[in-house]
Amino acid sequence: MVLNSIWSVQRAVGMPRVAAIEFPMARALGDVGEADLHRQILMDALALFASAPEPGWVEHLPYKWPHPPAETTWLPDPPPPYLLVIREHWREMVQRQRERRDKRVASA
Amino acid sequence: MGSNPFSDPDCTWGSPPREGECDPYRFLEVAIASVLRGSTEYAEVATEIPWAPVTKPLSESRISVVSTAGLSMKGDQPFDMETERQRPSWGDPTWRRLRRDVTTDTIQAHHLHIDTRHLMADLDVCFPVPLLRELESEGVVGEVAPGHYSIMGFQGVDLRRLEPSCREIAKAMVDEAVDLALFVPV
Repeated sequence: MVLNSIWSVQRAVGMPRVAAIEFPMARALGDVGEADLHRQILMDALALFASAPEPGWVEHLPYKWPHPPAETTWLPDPPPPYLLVIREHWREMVQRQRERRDKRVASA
Repeated sequence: MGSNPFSDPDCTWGSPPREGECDPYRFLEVAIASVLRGSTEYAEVATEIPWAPVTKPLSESRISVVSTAGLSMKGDQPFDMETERQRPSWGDPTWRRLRRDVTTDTIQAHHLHIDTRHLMADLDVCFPVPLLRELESEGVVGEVAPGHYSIMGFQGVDLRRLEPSCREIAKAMVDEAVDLALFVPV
């Protein structure tokens, strides 16, 4: 059974039981010191072992992270090496899209 | 709310999430979300989903936890971060066994993709073996297994390199008569 936020990978992976939770990476059971919350979430996840009716089942747990993404850090400092590569590709792609859009506007 | 997305023709796989569904990309910056969304949407749809029916109540079951947080016992070989720094598309494909008595004093985390300070302050945020020990002492869980396992979640572009580790971890669980495996990716 899998407890994680990125349940969409289920499409390609095909996990037997998934407990999805909208919490940041590496804190799937809550923040530091939130013992009661950890327990609630773990009990919900453990219940899914028996309650999932069929292979591939995804249970969306109803918990909400109390802070917006902009105030929730989970990446390390410095950022991972591969992320720097991805960011560079992303910047190049956005720049190319902007250039194509500007050309279309200029020729219209 | 639960459903089987494979038998739901209207499933959007989180792009965008529907009412009652978790947003899988809410805490990811746009570049990371784009890569993950693309790798999911363009991949082949899984056709064979493994399934092991639960045969015992939780209070009689032995449970083991698998983490992708790059965890190892202090004194054991840590995960290789230096090679990844030199080759950013590579991730250490090996695995580590963790004892059931792990604490923040006896464990170490080597992972370049997450802020490990939360985990090292409180293992239960994503590696709930201490909490499972409490549940064991209360009789809620039958037994916390002797062994738990960690891999390095980041594997770059070739996930096949991880397959030997997955098979070895699965065998170790079978050898230790684990009933339930809880996988908590980070």
